[in-house]
Amino acid sequence: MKTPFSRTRRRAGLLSPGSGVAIIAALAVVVLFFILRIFFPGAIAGIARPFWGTGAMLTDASAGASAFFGDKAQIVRERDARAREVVALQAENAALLARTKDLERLLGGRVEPVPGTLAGVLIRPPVSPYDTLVLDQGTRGGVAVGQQVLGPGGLPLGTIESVAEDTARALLYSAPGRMTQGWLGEKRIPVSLEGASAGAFRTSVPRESVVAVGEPVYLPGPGAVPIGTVVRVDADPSTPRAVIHVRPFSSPFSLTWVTVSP
Amino acid sequence: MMLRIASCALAVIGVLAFPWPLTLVFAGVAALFIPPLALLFGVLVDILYFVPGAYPVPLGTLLGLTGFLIALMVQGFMKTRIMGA
Repeated sequence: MKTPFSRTRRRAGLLSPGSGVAIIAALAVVVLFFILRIFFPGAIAGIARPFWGTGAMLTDASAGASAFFGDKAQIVRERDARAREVVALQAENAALLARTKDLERLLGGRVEPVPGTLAGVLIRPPVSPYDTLVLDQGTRGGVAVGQQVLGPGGLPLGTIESVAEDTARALLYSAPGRMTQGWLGEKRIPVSLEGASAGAFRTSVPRESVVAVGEPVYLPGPGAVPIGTVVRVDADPSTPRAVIHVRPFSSPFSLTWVTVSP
Repeated sequence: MMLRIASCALAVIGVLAFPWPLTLVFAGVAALFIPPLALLFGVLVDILYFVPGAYPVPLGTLLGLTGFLIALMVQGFMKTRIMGA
């Protein structure tokens, strides 16, 4: 006689019976993707490119639609555009000022503009999780691995790390954990800047060094190029070094065009 | 069914157009219905955006693999609970 207590329950494992097939299928696709990436690096980027373009177009269209429905949105958009322009001009101004000072010291240094390839930014953070930019120029446009990527006003942003025929991937200097040599303040104290993601940096200096909020931070470009300012100094009395937090002049979230410098 | 399709579609679009934390959420929801999707989205993110200097290991693939295994376990657990009820 069956009772509710005589029913035997099958003790299932953590993985269901069909899981093995799913795991094998998933691994096969992973291997396929990696083979594609290694042997045909531009293939998947080529497939994704129209979608990236559509995504950017939809973003622009949604901004346009919101502007259509109200003057307030239009004003906000114009204000944002002006703010971006101001940031670019500030960066350019700071770069020119720094260059002028350098040239005044050197008397006769090189002043010719740096040649480069103009590239549109297809994907930027926060869509790309590694602080990478996907650019719309590749080997066909003269882009090569190791070239420097410059933003508005000649701001050094990163380096080209991978190139396909029509696209390239640039790794920003602010990628988490990436170390870059630079200078701090008007005295140009040499520092190792550690990427803190989203355009920000972190560095440390001996606590005795007097570093004030608002001091410029420089990276090597054509000369010493200011890339941001000190926004916070964490000086803990129990540690010998002070941690400096740097905010960039230009946010990588709003980059649309860059120059790839040979 | 609609939720399944919508979460998958949003995760695919998210890899190409949305901020990555949002994509992570969509991929997590999609993986609850179809566990291998977590791994596939992780691999897709690495194929599109990973460069050797960015991180010592392809983080997207590792996260995807972890999500895949967790989703499999959650799905197995949920099936067992439904059968036992």
